[in-house]
Amino acid sequence: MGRGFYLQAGSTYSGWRVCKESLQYARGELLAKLEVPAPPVVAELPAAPPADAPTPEPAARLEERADRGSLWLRFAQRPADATLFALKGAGWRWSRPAMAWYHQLTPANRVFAEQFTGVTTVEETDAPAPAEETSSALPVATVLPFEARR
Amino acid sequence: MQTLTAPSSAQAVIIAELHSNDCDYQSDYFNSKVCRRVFLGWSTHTRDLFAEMRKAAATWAETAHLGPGCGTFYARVILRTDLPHSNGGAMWKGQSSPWHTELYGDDTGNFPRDGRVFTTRAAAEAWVATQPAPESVWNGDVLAEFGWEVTGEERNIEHPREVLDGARVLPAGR
Repeated sequence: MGRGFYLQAGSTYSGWRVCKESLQYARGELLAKLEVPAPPVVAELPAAPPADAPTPEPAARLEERADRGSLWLRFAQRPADATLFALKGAGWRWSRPAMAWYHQLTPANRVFAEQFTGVTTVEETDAPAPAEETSSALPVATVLPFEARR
Repeated sequence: MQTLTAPSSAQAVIIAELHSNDCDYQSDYFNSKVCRRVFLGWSTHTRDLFAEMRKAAATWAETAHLGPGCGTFYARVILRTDLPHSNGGAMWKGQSSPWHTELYGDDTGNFPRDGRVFTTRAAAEAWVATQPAPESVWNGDVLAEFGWEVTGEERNIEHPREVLDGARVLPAGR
């Protein structure tokens, strides 16, 4: 019999092995024993721009579409694979036409997205925004590493 | 210790286990013990997919050598010519050179017999590009010529489930 389905380099009797466990059978017991490494850095901290430089594009932007009941997360650039893996693991899905990640609009998902990216929610409506709010509707937000926000 | 709460969409968890050797070879006993279990990520399904495991492995430094594109690759010196011996034996073209193992040495002082070990093919090829051509050797009346070769593949760190008859259950797409 084989010993499962896993990744391991070198000897199968020593070293690191990566495998997958179903939560159906050992949910609480398994999770309680797991060590949790430091979360991956979402994005590199950008270098401080010069004073006269134009306002940089935010590293991530979170949009809430109440009419569709969805949350949308857009990155200015493709994030690291670790970031995308964590998003996917949390149930977010990639929309290729929209070039953004989306999930259901629930309080838990909103809290996750805000903690994950460190950005504030921007509500998007079909009605045109007032003129004085247009300029501040999309706040510039910097995505900080997890360690820096603790 | 930080406690984990599975998202509602999660059906499985991808973990890294550190195994330590617990074998007693003299009594033909083979076993390993799990020293640490580390959370790597959630999965929304229970299918066993190496691509998904590799992405999870790449998110942590200790298991980064199991990430996408990684495997076990060897840079070694091979024979370019056949070497027949007078006693009837021979060394054939493509065999590893027994005269150049000193070139495989690393900083730890080890000289692996099968070649210098790398995690990615690109790293192995880059190292070979920096090495001089292996010296030729006179073996009797024949001048043996050698060259560098990179062997190994990504799949040799993948351990699929096996069934009783030894056949492998390959993932989809193979």
